[in-house]
Amino acid sequence: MNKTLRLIQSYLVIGLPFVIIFMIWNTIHTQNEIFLDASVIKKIIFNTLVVNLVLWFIVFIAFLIILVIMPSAREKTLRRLANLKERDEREEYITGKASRATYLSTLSIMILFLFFSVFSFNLYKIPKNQAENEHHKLSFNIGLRFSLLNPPSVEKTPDGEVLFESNYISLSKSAIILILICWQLLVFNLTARRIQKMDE
Amino acid sequence: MNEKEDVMPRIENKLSINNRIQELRNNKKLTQQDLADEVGVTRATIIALEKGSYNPSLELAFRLAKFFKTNIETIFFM
Repeated sequence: MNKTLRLIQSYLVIGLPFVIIFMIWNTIHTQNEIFLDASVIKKIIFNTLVVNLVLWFIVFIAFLIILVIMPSAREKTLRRLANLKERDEREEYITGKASRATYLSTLSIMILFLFFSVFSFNLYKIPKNQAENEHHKLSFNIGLRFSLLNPPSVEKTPDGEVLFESNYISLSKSAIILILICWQLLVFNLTARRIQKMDE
Repeated sequence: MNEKEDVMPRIENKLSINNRIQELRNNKKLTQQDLADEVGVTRATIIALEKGSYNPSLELAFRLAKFFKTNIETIFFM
């Protein structure tokens, strides 16, 4: 299994640049343009890249499934990704401290994301015909929304000019997950490096 | 509820533990890497031990004592 896993990892790393090249090429030229105008060699290269793309994605999905179902594979791969070195007791101690720092900081950032996903707010200028008096110029609204399964329903937009709305800074689900992964890797590595430097 | 009872008591004054690892290592004419290999740790751990920035576990302390053929109190002191 180890050899297979190493082969899969090597292929994913080596094949990735070709996947990116194909995606860029396909963005610049459509498939029709390539097949109508291109030379034989270009068509062969294009077809090879298509096969590589399909194969790469199949292997990548298989790899992700392996990571989920096989703890040993997950341990080896993610340790390399997270730069986790535990060759002796001191490195285990550093890993422990860095993990603690990562856990707490990720928890705080997730609470922040939860806040922005549950609460919505906007600040808008009240139209003159709706103002109660001459001093009544701005309105600040706070909304609460939570749904386990369905996306939130459309909110009533105010009549006046919106000066600021929390939707301006709302992130997509993919962006949130990517930020959390990058944040965890960054905090863990920086904390581990800082603890190591303190010992030097 | 007394807040102080909920929290583990912290050690106010951390003990300053010194060691003679570098001296003992030099007596045996060993490099830090050699000593690290003998006791099963990385060179970085030996560096941290000799600098005093890391205190070893009991197991590592015993391994060092066994390697240097002495007792723990000879190697580590306050």
